[in-house]
Amino acid sequence: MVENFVPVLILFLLAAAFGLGTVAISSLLGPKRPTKVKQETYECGMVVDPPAYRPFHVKYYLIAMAFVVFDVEVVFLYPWAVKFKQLGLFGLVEMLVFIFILLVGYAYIWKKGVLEWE
Amino acid sequence: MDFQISDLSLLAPHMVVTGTALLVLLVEAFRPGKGRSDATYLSILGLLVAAGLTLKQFGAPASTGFAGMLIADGYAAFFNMVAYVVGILTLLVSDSYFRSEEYEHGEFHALMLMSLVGMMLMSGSNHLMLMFLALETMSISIYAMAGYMRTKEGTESSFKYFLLGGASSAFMLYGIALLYASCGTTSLTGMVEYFSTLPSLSDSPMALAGIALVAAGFCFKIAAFPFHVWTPDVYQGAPTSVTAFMATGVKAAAFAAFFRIFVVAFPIASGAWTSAFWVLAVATMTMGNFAALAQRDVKRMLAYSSIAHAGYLLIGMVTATSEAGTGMLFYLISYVFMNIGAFGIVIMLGKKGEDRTTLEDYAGVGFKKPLLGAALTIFMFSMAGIPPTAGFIGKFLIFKAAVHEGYIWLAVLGVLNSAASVYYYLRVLVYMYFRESESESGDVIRTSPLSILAAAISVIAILVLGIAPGYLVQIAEAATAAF
Amino acid sequence: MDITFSSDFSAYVAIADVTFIAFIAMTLAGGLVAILAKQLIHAVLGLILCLIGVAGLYAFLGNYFIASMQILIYVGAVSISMVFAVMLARPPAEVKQKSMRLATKIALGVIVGLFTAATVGSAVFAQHWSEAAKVTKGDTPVEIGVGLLTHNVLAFELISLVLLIAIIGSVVIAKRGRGTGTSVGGEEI
Repeated sequence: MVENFVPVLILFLLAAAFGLGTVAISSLLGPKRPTKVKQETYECGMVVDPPAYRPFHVKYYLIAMAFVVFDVEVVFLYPWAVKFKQLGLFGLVEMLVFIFILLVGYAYIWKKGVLEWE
Repeated sequence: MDFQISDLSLLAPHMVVTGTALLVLLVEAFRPGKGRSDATYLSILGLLVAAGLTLKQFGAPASTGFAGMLIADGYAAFFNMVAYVVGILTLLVSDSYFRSEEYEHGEFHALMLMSLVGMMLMSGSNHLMLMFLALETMSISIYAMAGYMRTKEGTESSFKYFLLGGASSAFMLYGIALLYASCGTTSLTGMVEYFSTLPSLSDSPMALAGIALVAAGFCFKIAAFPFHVWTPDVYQGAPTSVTAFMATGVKAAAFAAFFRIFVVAFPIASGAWTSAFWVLAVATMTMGNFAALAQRDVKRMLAYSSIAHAGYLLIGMVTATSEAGTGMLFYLISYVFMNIGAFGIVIMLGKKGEDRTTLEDYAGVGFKKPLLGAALTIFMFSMAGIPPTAGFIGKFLIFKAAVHEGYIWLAVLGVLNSAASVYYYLRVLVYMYFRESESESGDVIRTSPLSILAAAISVIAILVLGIAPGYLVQIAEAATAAF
Repeated sequence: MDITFSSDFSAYVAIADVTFIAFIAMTLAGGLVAILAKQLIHAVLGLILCLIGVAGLYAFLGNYFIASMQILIYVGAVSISMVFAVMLARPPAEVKQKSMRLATKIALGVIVGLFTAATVGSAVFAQHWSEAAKVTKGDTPVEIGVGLLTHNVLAFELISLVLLIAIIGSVVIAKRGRGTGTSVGGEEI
């Protein structure tokens, strides 16, 4: 079974070798004349002002958590969807219960303003 | 085999509690408000309805549902009742806390109810995967509840509990994986079948390793000796009502699953685990009691005392007969009443924004607040195991079962430990009645009718169970007769 | 040149073996980076490498659905939330190790690790292994779907409750400041 994927693996390795190879070749052959300005962090041409390492607002994290939760929900939807007809009405009801419970969570974070971005 | 609609009747109490949790959450989302108690009343109503449904399961014969995953018998019904008692008492004692701190409590109640669903499923699970999921349902809610107040101590407590709880879950999951690798199933029924084909457990050392890891996971949740280190910090830092909840609910649910899984599925390894639990029981009792002697903070003292109580309960695990099970069930329900009662008094003696939990804060309380003092006295007597309280009967039943199985030394060590514990329980009373208070600390208390109701229920329950234990002992005997 | 892609071509088997070892090495290397990295963000990257390695092992065992879900959830979603968690943190101060000397820590870790490895390893080698049931090479998502929605339905519904708790818990912990109630709003943490 796994042996069938060997061509895919070879393709993968070739792609990786090409990607890494071009970077390696350009860094080996390209001229390097560093100056102070060139070595600064590149930020779209703007002057870099505050240090990049600073705490972000917690709402990014809440969005990330909501994403994880609903991502997992979708993962559970997939195996149900591929066998939707065999599982029938009963499977549909089970899945609706599953989704409903998470929907309560969705309503909760919505009303709590987690999704608001001012 | 797979699923019948009739299985839903086994799940009815769980569904009622879940539904209540969702409803409370939606009410909190759409009609938020501070200082109102409707979430509390709604939650209590839900738990009472669930209790009514569970009552019907007491006399009924044991039945399994959901492809053998869930089992509904007297044992599960008993622990479901324990969960409702824990839930209702915690709701009542939290009331004064939330009133004085002016916190919204909808999410808190919803998390607590979902945690209760986890506890109920733990006692009824006939399958290690369901048990593990239920354990996580219970634990993750409590991690969030411990950090609910966003105080420095609360966050620290939540984080410590989360990290160590996560590690213990990993141990348990690893153990379940090893058991699956050796048995080919994680259903208790299936494991019993597998073990019955083995001449001895030495033919399956990997299953033994799995059993050991599962035991380690449980020992963390019940705060038994080498896995107890988190307990004092977490119990002290968490909001007091959460401490009451996790000291009682988690311990009861973990022991429920622990006893069922080990007695039903792993009797083949009983030679190995009884000697291990013998050592753990003695170490846990002794360590808990001696560390409690040195504490000056009442919450921390109660944390070490809860470790000691886990030690007494482990004696029941060593004995592992249905008689010991009866003792454990009785002990756990009385432990619930005396512990939540005591923590409820601790809450009431605090004031807004400040828990007053050092022993000095209790000086003179016995005369300034005679009723609270009397209630705390009864709780301390019950924890120390002094008759005529429920704590005495519980200890008596467990030690008696141990002696019947020939574990005389274990019972003797248990009795000696209880004697040592009297010192630190009574020290609280000495402070309350024989020390003059230096400040007017006893005057400011946060209290509410519901919290006083919780204390009254606990006092009455402890005295009734201590004086006339017969009825509950019969129920507990019926619940554990199958083991 | 004439190459036939048949599975009995022994070089393929050899390549598959090498791939297996590569995945193991990736998992271990990622784990080591996650433990040893000085910068928190490097530790997360190491963990991502480790998780990709595990996904490779799932694929190697023939369970492509689980492997792709491992990539989707752990490498995709969980790692992202970890990166956000790192971004929330204040810039790292100098790491001080006051409580225990590093050598003591390493020694204790090695002792515990060796003990665990020895115990589990000896159990694995002493086990009387019966032949594993032949894995049916069916359509794994279908098998998982049927399993989840028939005999494991209770566990399946409980998962939704765990997910709900996770989302409420994160809101409760992260959003509500002390005494500020519903809206923490735009204030910087």
